[in-house]
Order: sequence, then C-alpha cells, then structure tokens
Amino acid sequence: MSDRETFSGTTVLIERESEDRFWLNMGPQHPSTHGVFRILLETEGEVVTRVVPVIGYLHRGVEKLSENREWMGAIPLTDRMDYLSAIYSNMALVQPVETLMGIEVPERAQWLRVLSMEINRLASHLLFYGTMGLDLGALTPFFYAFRQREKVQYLLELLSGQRITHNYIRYGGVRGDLTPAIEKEIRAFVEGFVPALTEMEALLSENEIFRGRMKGLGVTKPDFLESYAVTGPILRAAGVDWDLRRDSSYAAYDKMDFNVPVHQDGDCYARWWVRFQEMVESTRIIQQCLDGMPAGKFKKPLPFFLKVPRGEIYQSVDTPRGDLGVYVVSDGSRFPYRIHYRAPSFCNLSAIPSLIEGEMLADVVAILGSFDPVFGEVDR
Amino acid sequence: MSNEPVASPFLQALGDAPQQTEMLFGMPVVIMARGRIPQALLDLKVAGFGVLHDLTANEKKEGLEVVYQLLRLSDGARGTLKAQLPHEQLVMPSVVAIHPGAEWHEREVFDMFGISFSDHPDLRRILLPEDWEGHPLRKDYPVGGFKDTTPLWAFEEAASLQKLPERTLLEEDILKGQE
Repeated sequence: MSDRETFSGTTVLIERESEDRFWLNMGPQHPSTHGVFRILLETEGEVVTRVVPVIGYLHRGVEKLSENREWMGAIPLTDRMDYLSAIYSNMALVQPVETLMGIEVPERAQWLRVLSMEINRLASHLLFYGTMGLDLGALTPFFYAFRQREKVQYLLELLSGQRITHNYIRYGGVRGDLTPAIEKEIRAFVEGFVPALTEMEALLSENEIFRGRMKGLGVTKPDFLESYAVTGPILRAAGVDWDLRRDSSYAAYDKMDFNVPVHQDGDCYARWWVRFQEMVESTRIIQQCLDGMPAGKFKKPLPFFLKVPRGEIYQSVDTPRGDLGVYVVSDGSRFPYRIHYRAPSFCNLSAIPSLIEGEMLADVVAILGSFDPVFGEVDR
Repeated sequence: MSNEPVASPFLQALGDAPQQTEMLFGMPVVIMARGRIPQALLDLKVAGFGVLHDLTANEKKEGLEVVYQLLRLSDGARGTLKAQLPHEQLVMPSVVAIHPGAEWHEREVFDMFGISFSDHPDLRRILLPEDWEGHPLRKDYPVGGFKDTTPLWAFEEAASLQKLPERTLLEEDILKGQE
C-alpha cells in the first residue's frame, strides 16, 4: 500500500518519494481555471508527473434540490449548472419529461428552441474564443469576442428576459414568442457578425505564436476519448463525427441544413478550430430559423403543477461542451423522484489528469483552456 | 415505442444469459445480477458499445440500483444496464478497468449514495468534503442537512423545505406499469 498525504483537506496517494519532486497547488482561485477548480500538480522540474484534480467547490446539490420542488421548479436550477449555455440545460431536462408525458410540442416552439439554443452556442463559444487567447497571454481576442458577445447577450435578453440564467425553454414550448422587433434585431446582428467572424478567425488562426503554442499540444486519440466518455467539440476535434443535433435530431434540427465540423488532429488547435467553425454553422442555423419560422403557437398550455406519469427515461442533447444526458425517474407525483445530470464537463474533465501528465507546466493552462470546462456543471 | 423486446444490437451483444429485459421508449433496459455487470460491459465493449455515457444510482424500496448507460458511437445505438443492491450490502464491482471514465462517476455514486465499489483505485468523496457525514441523495437525508453537522442558519432556512414532499419509496416493479 502506498502512503497518503494530506494537502489542505485533500488526501493524495503518494506513489513514489523523491527529492526532485515538488507538489504545486493550482487554484481553486486561479484565473486560468475558468471557475473554481483546484489541481495538485506533482512536478519534476518543468514537467508535470502527476495530477490530482479537486472538484466540488461549486457543489449546490442541484439533484437533491430538484427532488424537493415541483417539476416546474427544476428548470431554473438547470440554468445554474452550465451558466454559459443555460438554454441547453433547460432543453436537456424538458425533453425527457415531455417524452414521459407524451406532449406534442407546437412546431413553432421547436424552431424557437433551435433558434435560442444556437444563439446561446454563440455566446458560449465566444467566451471560449476570448479566454483561450487570455490563457495563452493574448489580450486582444478577448475584446473582439466580448464586443460580439455583448450583442448576443442582448438578443437572449430580448428573447428570454434574462442575460445569464435564461430559463427560456419550458415544458410544452418556450417562454416568449419571437416578435417582429426581436427578429429585426437578430437579423441586424447576424449581418454584422458574419464579417466579424472572418476578422476574428484571422486574428488567431494566422497568428504564428498562437499556432506554435496550440499545434501538437495535448493530442488526444479517439480511443482514449471514448474510454473517458468525452463528447462534444473535443471528440469532433479528434476525428469522430458524432453530433446529437444531427444524429438524434431532437427539436427541429432535422429541418436545418448544417455541417458538423470535424478535425483530424485532436490537438488544442483542432479543438479551437472546431469550436470556431461551429460558430459559423450556428450563424447559418440562426438564419435558417429566421427565414423558415413557421406560424403558430409558441407554447402548449399546460397546468403549472405538472403530474408526470410513472416511468424513467434517459435522453441527451448536444451542448457546446458535449452530450448533456438527463436521467429522469418519476413516481407519478408532483415532484421528480430522481433527476440525474450527466454533465459533459464532468466527463471531459475526468480525462484531463492522464492528458496533462508528462506535459510542461506552462501547457497545463492551455490544455485545460482548450477543454473549456464550466464548473457550475462539473460540481452541480 | 413498442414494449416488445425487438432484436436490438444491445441485447444481441449481451447474449442469452438469464436476465430481465424491458424496452422503454425504444431503449433496451436490462436488469442483471451485480456480479455479472463487469463481464456484460466487457462483452458490450467488444460489440462496439465503447462509451459508458453515464453511471448513476437510484434508491428504491428494496434497495439501491446502479444504472449504466451505454452508447455506440458508430451508429448511435444505446442501452441501459441495471444492477440492484439490497440495503444491507451496498457493494458493487468497479468497472474502472474496463471504462477508465467510470472512476469519477463511481466516486460520485459513493459520495451521494454510499455505495462502495470494490477494486476502485481511489475511492474517496468527490463533490463533498472528505469529512462530510451522510450521503445526500439518499431519500432519508433531509434537504437542509442534519442539524448537528450543518450550520444552524442553513438548517433553519431549509426548515420549511424539510417537510415536503411526503413520499414513499418506489417499488421495484416500476418498469412494469409504464407505457
């Protein structure tokens, strides 16, 4: 048996003792951990030899709280998990519950869901674009990204009434309709966003330092990612063509024409590239939504106190971070019996330790940034 | 949405060993003895179900059940495996050797439900502090925590919540009554 040592409340198995080895504590309050994440790094010179991640600093017991509220009360809690793409979390919960109840959602509501989700994807990936540059020491991309992100936030505010915790997708439809005034705003935004994307891509993809830092760093193989159940842009950057939007086509995604960007390299640059191309595709989907939006109701009227029939179901949606799976068990009462969230960031992050081991200390931040974890979701 | 067990690739990969099988919303759900789970996951992995999409637990009347969600990336085929554990013996064989990604999931189930996993490389709490008492997702754990282990204000603020909802634990045969 190996010895155990405790570093401020965290017990670590010590495999080998050596005088050259040094334990370095990173986080939980560290600008490059994108939230409250703590990693204990065992280093030998500049090289990281072991990684012990410590999570749970943002744990609020979302699953326990959900069990003690009405079904309706569980939706706002999902906003607080992945706070950068809250509408996706709403969708992930609403979809299995609607399947259990056998609700037919109006066509216009399905299109509005796709529209709001893709606008949300822009907000999430724009933040990634900015912080990825920041992690490598480039300050300018952050301002380019946030100038656009502010407009995206404004559009989401018009649609949902909230800037961050949107709470937009409800059982049976969405919260509010798309009025001609909002449609005009979105069209105006898309018109200015397309040339801005070209500018933003050139800013980093043609940057010699950025390419030099990102290419060949943190290379992942599809087998490795599969064994850790890593999904989303990280998986697609390693050459696996898997996107639930296309492959299981929930909401109105089967009526949209879009490409799934796939890169073969699997390194940090590929992950950045895939996310950037997804923004281009999202813009296309938003335009299609605006052009083809069917008329009709935006919500099917349902009682506030839902009664979901007995049963259990597991369904997942594709979020900007990967597959967000929700396992819902209902006992037929007004309260959920059990709701479990399979958070994509949680699974993606579990692959980080074996990926970082053997890398240079300065690259830890770049690899972590390219995984784009959100800790509200990891800790739930 | 038929309830008839059709020829799904998931069930074919499991072979014809004795087990309870249901189709729920087009997804095969297989309940088996806990000792057979690792072998079943190994068989499924050979058949291409290489992604352990989710691993969680749920409390029922006669015990806890551990739920495995599997996914095949090549065609998107899915399936669910379940094992039921009686309350007095909450031990499960670990599947970390087959799916390394299960490590954190099993730690979370241990943290939240108190199910221990034999042969797990590093079974510690993951989301809660190491000195936490109790397992929050068990149904007998109050929302505000136990009074003697949490700050008083937290307990008092949650006091009104502590009372609801009154509920009974689910029977094992929940799958039966379902459309």
